[in-house]
Amino acid sequence: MLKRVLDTCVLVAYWRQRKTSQTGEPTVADVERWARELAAIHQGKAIVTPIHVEFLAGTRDSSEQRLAESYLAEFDTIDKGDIPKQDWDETLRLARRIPPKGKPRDLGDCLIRAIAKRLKHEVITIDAGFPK
Amino acid sequence: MSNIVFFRQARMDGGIRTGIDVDGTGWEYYEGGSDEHDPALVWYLDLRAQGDDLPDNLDDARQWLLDQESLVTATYRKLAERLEVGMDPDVWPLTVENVQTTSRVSLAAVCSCMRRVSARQMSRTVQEIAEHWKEYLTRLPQMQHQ
Repeated sequence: MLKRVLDTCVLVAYWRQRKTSQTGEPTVADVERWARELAAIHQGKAIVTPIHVEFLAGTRDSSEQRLAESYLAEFDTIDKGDIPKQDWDETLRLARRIPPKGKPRDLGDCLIRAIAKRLKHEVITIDAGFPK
Repeated sequence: MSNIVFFRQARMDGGIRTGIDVDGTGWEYYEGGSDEHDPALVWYLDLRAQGDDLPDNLDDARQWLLDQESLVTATYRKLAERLEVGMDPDVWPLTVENVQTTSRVSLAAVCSCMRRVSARQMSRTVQEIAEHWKEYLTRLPQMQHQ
Protein backbone atom coordinates (compact mmCIF):
# COMPACT_ATOMS: atom_id res chain seq x y z
CA MET A 1 0.00 0.00 0.00
CA LEU A 2 1.16 3.54 -0.76
CA LYS A 3 1.22 6.54 1.59
CA ARG A 4 -2.24 7.71 0.59
CA VAL A 5 -4.89 8.94 2.98
CA LEU A 6 -8.46 8.32 1.86
CA ASP A 7 -10.49 11.44 2.61
CA THR A 8 -13.92 11.25 4.24
CA CYS A 9 -15.68 12.02 0.95
CA VAL A 10 -13.92 9.06 -0.67
CA LEU A 11 -15.02 6.71 2.10
CA VAL A 12 -18.59 8.04 1.97
CA ALA A 13 -18.84 7.90 -1.84
CA TYR A 14 -17.75 4.27 -1.96
CA TRP A 15 -20.03 3.30 0.93
CA ARG A 16 -23.02 4.85 -0.85
CA GLN A 17 -22.09 3.34 -4.19
CA ARG A 18 -21.81 -0.17 -2.74
CA LYS A 19 -24.93 0.21 -0.62
CA THR A 20 -26.98 1.30 -3.61
CA SER A 21 -25.81 -1.64 -5.69
CA GLN A 22 -26.54 -4.15 -2.93
CA THR A 23 -29.84 -5.93 -2.45
CA GLY A 24 -30.83 -6.10 1.19
CA GLU A 25 -29.22 -4.58 4.21
CA PRO A 26 -25.42 -4.81 4.38
CA THR A 27 -23.78 -6.93 7.03
CA VAL A 28 -20.57 -6.39 8.94
CA ALA A 29 -18.82 -8.76 6.52
CA ASP A 30 -20.12 -6.70 3.58
CA VAL A 31 -18.82 -3.38 4.87
CA GLU A 32 -15.47 -4.89 5.83
CA ARG A 33 -15.19 -6.17 2.26
CA TRP A 34 -16.12 -2.74 0.87
CA ALA A 35 -13.30 -1.19 2.87
CA ARG A 36 -10.79 -3.70 1.57
CA GLU A 37 -12.01 -3.11 -1.99
CA LEU A 38 -11.61 0.64 -1.60
CA ALA A 39 -8.10 0.25 -0.22
CA ALA A 40 -7.19 -1.96 -3.18
CA ILE A 41 -8.72 0.47 -5.66
CA HIS A 42 -6.54 3.33 -4.47
CA GLN A 43 -3.57 1.31 -3.20
CA GLY A 44 -3.95 3.09 0.11
CA LYS A 45 -5.60 2.24 3.39
CA ALA A 46 -4.62 5.18 5.59
CA ILE A 47 -7.09 7.48 7.29
CA VAL A 48 -6.61 10.01 10.09
CA THR A 49 -8.68 10.54 13.23
CA PRO A 50 -10.76 13.48 11.89
CA ILE A 51 -11.86 11.26 9.00
CA HIS A 52 -12.93 8.58 11.46
CA VAL A 53 -14.91 11.20 13.42
CA GLU A 54 -16.50 12.79 10.34
CA PHE A 55 -17.62 9.43 9.01
CA LEU A 56 -19.18 8.40 12.33
CA ALA A 57 -20.84 11.78 12.66
CA GLY A 58 -22.76 11.06 9.48
CA THR A 59 -24.44 7.90 10.75
CA ARG A 60 -28.17 8.04 11.41
CA ASP A 61 -28.87 5.17 13.79
CA SER A 62 -27.08 2.64 15.99
CA SER A 63 -27.22 -0.11 13.38
CA GLU A 64 -25.55 2.10 10.76
CA GLN A 65 -23.03 3.25 13.34
CA ARG A 66 -22.04 -0.33 14.14
CA LEU A 67 -21.49 -1.00 10.45
CA ALA A 68 -19.54 2.24 10.10
CA GLU A 69 -17.22 1.19 12.94
CA SER A 70 -16.57 -2.12 11.18
CA TYR A 71 -15.90 -0.34 7.88
CA LEU A 72 -13.49 2.13 9.51
CA ALA A 73 -11.68 -0.60 11.43
CA GLU A 74 -10.37 -1.98 8.12
CA PHE A 75 -8.36 1.20 7.51
CA ASP A 76 -5.18 2.25 9.31
CA THR A 77 -5.64 5.38 11.44
CA ILE A 78 -2.08 6.57 10.99
CA ASP A 79 -2.05 9.23 13.72
CA LYS A 80 -3.42 6.70 16.24
CA GLY A 81 -5.55 9.43 17.78
CA ASP A 82 -2.50 11.46 18.75
CA ILE A 83 -2.76 14.97 17.33
CA PRO A 84 0.10 17.14 18.62
CA LYS A 85 0.24 20.93 18.81
CA GLN A 86 2.28 20.95 15.60
CA ASP A 87 -0.78 19.72 13.71
CA TRP A 88 -3.03 22.33 15.29
CA ASP A 89 -0.54 25.07 14.38
CA GLU A 90 -0.55 23.85 10.77
CA THR A 91 -4.35 23.66 10.85
CA LEU A 92 -4.46 27.27 11.97
CA ARG A 93 -2.03 28.28 9.22
CA LEU A 94 -4.24 26.62 6.62
CA ALA A 95 -7.38 28.20 8.05
CA ARG A 96 -5.76 31.63 7.77
CA ARG A 97 -5.12 31.22 4.06
CA ILE A 98 -7.91 33.01 2.26
CA PRO A 99 -8.54 31.59 -1.23
CA PRO A 100 -9.15 33.97 -4.16
CA LYS A 101 -12.94 33.69 -3.93
CA GLY A 102 -12.99 33.90 -0.16
CA LYS A 103 -14.42 30.42 0.27
CA PRO A 104 -14.66 29.47 3.95
CA ARG A 105 -12.18 26.89 5.20
CA ASP A 106 -13.31 23.74 6.92
CA LEU A 107 -11.80 22.54 10.20
CA GLY A 108 -11.83 18.90 9.14
CA ASP A 109 -10.15 19.57 5.80
CA CYS A 110 -7.42 21.70 7.37
CA LEU A 111 -6.73 19.22 10.17
CA ILE A 112 -6.65 16.23 7.81
CA ARG A 113 -4.08 17.99 5.66
CA ALA A 114 -2.01 19.01 8.64
CA ILE A 115 -1.78 15.46 9.94
CA ALA A 116 -1.10 14.06 6.46
CA LYS A 117 1.71 16.57 6.01
CA ARG A 118 3.39 15.61 9.30
CA LEU A 119 3.13 11.90 8.52
CA LYS A 120 4.32 12.39 4.91
CA HIS A 121 1.17 11.10 3.30
CA GLU A 122 -0.90 12.51 0.46
CA VAL A 123 -4.68 12.83 0.53
CA ILE A 124 -6.98 11.34 -2.08
CA THR A 125 -10.06 13.51 -2.23
CA ILE A 126 -12.90 14.09 -4.68
CA ASP A 127 -13.32 17.84 -4.57
CA ALA A 128 -10.68 20.46 -3.99
CA GLY A 129 -12.41 21.52 -0.78
CA PHE A 130 -9.22 22.98 0.54
CA PRO A 131 -8.20 26.58 -0.07
CA LYS A 132 -5.57 27.22 -2.64
CA MET B 1 1.85 -13.34 -5.36
CA SER B 2 3.76 -10.04 -5.76
CA ASN B 3 2.49 -6.56 -6.40
CA ILE B 4 4.45 -3.87 -8.20
CA VAL B 5 3.16 -0.31 -8.39
CA PHE B 6 4.87 2.42 -10.37
CA PHE B 7 3.12 5.70 -9.60
CA ARG B 8 3.23 9.37 -10.42
CA GLN B 9 0.95 11.77 -8.57
CA ALA B 10 0.36 15.51 -8.49
CA ARG B 11 -0.47 17.53 -5.41
CA MET B 12 -2.51 20.72 -5.05
CA ASP B 13 0.68 22.61 -4.16
CA GLY B 14 2.23 21.65 -7.49
CA GLY B 15 4.51 18.94 -6.13
CA ILE B 16 4.89 15.71 -8.06
CA ARG B 17 5.81 12.44 -6.41
CA THR B 18 7.08 9.52 -8.44
CA GLY B 19 7.86 6.11 -7.08
CA ILE B 20 7.88 2.39 -7.27
CA ASP B 21 6.59 0.04 -4.60
CA VAL B 22 7.06 -3.69 -4.33
CA ASP B 23 4.95 -5.33 -1.66
CA GLY B 24 5.21 -2.34 0.66
CA THR B 25 8.86 -1.42 0.06
CA GLY B 26 9.58 1.52 -2.18
CA TRP B 27 11.74 4.16 -3.79
CA GLU B 28 10.36 7.57 -4.53
CA TYR B 29 11.32 11.14 -5.31
CA TYR B 30 9.55 14.45 -5.02
CA GLU B 31 9.78 17.41 -7.38
CA GLY B 32 8.60 20.99 -7.18
CA GLY B 33 5.77 22.15 -5.01
CA SER B 34 5.24 25.55 -3.45
CA ASP B 35 6.05 26.47 0.14
CA GLU B 36 2.31 26.49 0.80
CA HIS B 37 2.20 22.76 1.44
CA ASP B 38 -0.99 21.07 0.36
CA PRO B 39 -0.91 17.27 0.28
CA ALA B 40 -4.26 16.83 -1.46
CA LEU B 41 -3.82 14.93 -4.72
CA VAL B 42 -5.13 16.46 -7.93
CA TRP B 43 -4.51 13.21 -9.77
CA TYR B 44 -2.57 10.00 -9.68
CA LEU B 45 -1.59 7.50 -12.32
CA ASP B 46 -0.53 4.01 -11.27
CA LEU B 47 0.89 1.19 -13.27
CA ARG B 48 0.08 -1.93 -11.31
CA ALA B 49 1.40 -5.41 -11.95
CA GLN B 50 0.22 -8.42 -10.02
CA GLY B 51 1.11 -12.07 -10.35
CA ASP B 52 3.14 -15.06 -9.36
CA ASP B 53 6.03 -14.52 -11.73
CA LEU B 54 7.02 -11.04 -10.66
CA PRO B 55 10.31 -10.00 -9.05
CA ASP B 56 10.14 -9.30 -5.35
CA ASN B 57 12.81 -6.60 -5.04
CA LEU B 58 12.96 -3.04 -6.29
CA ASP B 59 15.93 -3.32 -8.66
CA ASP B 60 14.50 -6.32 -10.45
CA ALA B 61 10.98 -4.88 -10.44
CA ARG B 62 12.18 -1.74 -12.17
CA GLN B 63 14.04 -3.77 -14.74
CA TRP B 64 10.99 -5.97 -15.25
CA LEU B 65 8.87 -2.90 -16.02
CA LEU B 66 11.52 -1.57 -18.42
CA ASP B 67 11.52 -4.93 -20.16
CA GLN B 68 7.78 -4.54 -20.75
CA GLU B 69 8.30 -1.22 -22.52
CA SER B 70 6.01 -1.71 -25.49
CA LEU B 71 3.22 -3.17 -23.40
CA VAL B 72 3.47 -0.46 -20.76
CA THR B 73 3.46 2.34 -23.31
CA ALA B 74 0.53 0.78 -25.15
CA THR B 75 -1.43 0.42 -21.91
CA TYR B 76 -0.90 4.07 -21.02
CA ARG B 77 -1.91 5.13 -24.52
CA LYS B 78 -5.08 3.03 -24.41
CA LEU B 79 -5.96 4.62 -21.11
CA ALA B 80 -5.39 8.08 -22.60
CA GLU B 81 -7.65 7.19 -25.54
CA ARG B 82 -10.34 5.97 -23.19
CA LEU B 83 -10.15 9.22 -21.25
CA GLU B 84 -10.60 11.20 -24.46
CA VAL B 85 -14.09 9.72 -24.63
CA GLY B 86 -14.78 10.81 -21.06
CA MET B 87 -15.07 9.45 -17.54
CA ASP B 88 -18.06 7.76 -16.02
CA PRO B 89 -19.50 10.29 -13.55
CA ASP B 90 -21.25 7.52 -11.62
CA VAL B 91 -17.95 5.92 -10.78
CA TRP B 92 -16.05 8.84 -9.26
CA PRO B 93 -13.21 9.63 -11.63
CA LEU B 94 -11.34 6.39 -11.75
CA THR B 95 -10.37 4.76 -14.98
CA VAL B 96 -8.63 1.47 -15.48
CA GLU B 97 -7.01 -0.14 -18.49
CA ASN B 98 -6.18 -3.81 -17.93
CA VAL B 99 -3.95 -6.11 -19.94
CA GLN B 100 -2.61 -9.59 -19.39
CA THR B 101 1.13 -9.96 -19.89
CA THR B 102 1.23 -13.70 -19.36
CA SER B 103 -1.24 -16.17 -17.96
CA ARG B 104 0.16 -15.44 -14.49
CA VAL B 105 0.75 -11.70 -14.55
CA SER B 106 -1.69 -8.87 -15.10
CA LEU B 107 -0.85 -5.25 -15.74
CA ALA B 108 -3.17 -2.28 -15.26
CA ALA B 109 -2.91 1.46 -15.72
CA VAL B 110 -5.17 3.15 -13.19
CA CYS B 111 -5.86 6.84 -12.84
CA SER B 112 -7.98 8.97 -10.62
CA CYS B 113 -8.40 12.71 -10.23
CA MET B 114 -10.40 15.38 -8.52
CA ARG B 115 -13.72 16.22 -10.12
CA ARG B 116 -12.38 19.56 -11.25
CA VAL B 117 -9.96 17.81 -13.63
CA SER B 118 -11.61 17.07 -16.95
CA ALA B 119 -11.23 13.74 -18.71
CA ARG B 120 -9.42 15.52 -21.53
CA GLN B 121 -6.92 17.13 -19.15
CA MET B 122 -6.31 13.76 -17.54
CA SER B 123 -5.85 12.20 -20.96
CA ARG B 124 -3.12 14.73 -21.76
CA THR B 125 -1.41 13.94 -18.47
CA VAL B 126 -1.47 10.22 -19.22
CA GLN B 127 -0.09 10.87 -22.71
CA GLU B 128 2.74 12.92 -21.24
CA ILE B 129 3.59 10.14 -18.81
CA ALA B 130 3.40 7.57 -21.62
CA GLU B 131 6.13 9.51 -23.40
CA HIS B 132 8.42 9.90 -20.38
CA TRP B 133 7.71 6.99 -18.02
CA LYS B 134 11.01 5.26 -18.72
CA GLU B 135 12.90 8.41 -17.82
CA TYR B 136 10.89 8.81 -14.58
CA LEU B 137 11.43 5.19 -13.66
CA THR B 138 15.12 5.23 -14.49
CA ARG B 139 15.71 8.21 -12.16
CA LEU B 140 14.81 5.92 -9.27
CA PRO B 141 16.50 5.47 -6.88
CA GLN B 142 19.19 8.06 -7.65
CA MET B 143 16.83 10.94 -6.92
CA GLN B 144 15.25 9.31 -3.93
CA HIS B 145 14.80 11.62 -0.99
CA GLN B 146 12.19 12.74 1.59
